[in-house]
Amino acid sequence: MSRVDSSASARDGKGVPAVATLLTWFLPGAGHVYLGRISFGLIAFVVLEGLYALGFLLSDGRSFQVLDPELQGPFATALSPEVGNLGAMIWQLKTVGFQAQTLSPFPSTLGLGGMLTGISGILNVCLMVHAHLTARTTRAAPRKGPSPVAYVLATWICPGLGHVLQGRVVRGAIVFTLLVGLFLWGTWLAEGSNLSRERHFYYWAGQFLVGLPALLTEVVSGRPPVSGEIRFLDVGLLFACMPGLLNILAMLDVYGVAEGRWLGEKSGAAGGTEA
Amino acid sequence: MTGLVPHVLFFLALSFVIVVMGAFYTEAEDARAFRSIPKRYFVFVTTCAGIAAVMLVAQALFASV
Repeated sequence: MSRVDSSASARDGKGVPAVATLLTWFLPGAGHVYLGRISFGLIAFVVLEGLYALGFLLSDGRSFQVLDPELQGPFATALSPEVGNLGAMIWQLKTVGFQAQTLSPFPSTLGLGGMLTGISGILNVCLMVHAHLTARTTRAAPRKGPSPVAYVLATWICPGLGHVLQGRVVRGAIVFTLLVGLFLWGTWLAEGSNLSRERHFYYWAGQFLVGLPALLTEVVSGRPPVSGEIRFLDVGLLFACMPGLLNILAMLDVYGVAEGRWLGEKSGAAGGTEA
Repeated sequence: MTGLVPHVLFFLALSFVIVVMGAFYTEAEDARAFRSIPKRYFVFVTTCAGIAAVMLVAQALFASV
């Protein structure tokens, strides 16, 4: 019998992994409460919803109003990082939506607020992974080293960091060089115009998955103004966005290996075999 | 046509990153991943070139512009 199959976890009385994951998606911490980890669930709820609330306040709830009117719709925000915290995102859409209640300029902290709500979404995805893994892990399963979720989070924070923490330094260095290099190249080609959610809502959502390098670049650059035609704007936006999407593959890679090690298995990531 | 060469080079660069990340995702062992990259890169680029050729032919035959 596998130590991680769902039937085993159900017999242990922990709960169904998919239910725990879905509950967490809609309400951070709810999956852990369902699995009996009430304190952890409540703390996770306070932290993640608090982060979202702070971002909501800083952006005055208007981070989705930067979308072009023709793009606004019920599923328009499905490709934003906030979708990781689905309940909060739906609440924001229901309470504020796309329409400004007053005709006033966007607050100066709009960008910071959008970052915080986005980070809340990413962290909740990690929490969903943790809930799923917790439900699948039987009491008899050995647990070696940090939780696989920690490696996933490290890979989001900095591409390649999760690999390095796993001891796969060469792979981590290559991942970091390729993804961060591509992001910086794209930013240079787009002359920094990609570093603004207001200008490029969906490309920004993709590059958000590059993690700290993208966020720091945006903060340090101060969102440079666009003064003229940008020759390679389309390529620049693509190059800045793609590393974020490819970082998902890196996260899956580190998760597969970390899960195998954590549970004392030999199998590696995504059908591969660990060295 | 003046923008063709740089865009082809951009495509080749981006393709390389996509292929390497795909190889890393598929192969957890570094040596096997590295060995698979040249073939993956060739297949990816030639397939994309084939799709681009089909699109150009379709454009020439059916597009009104």
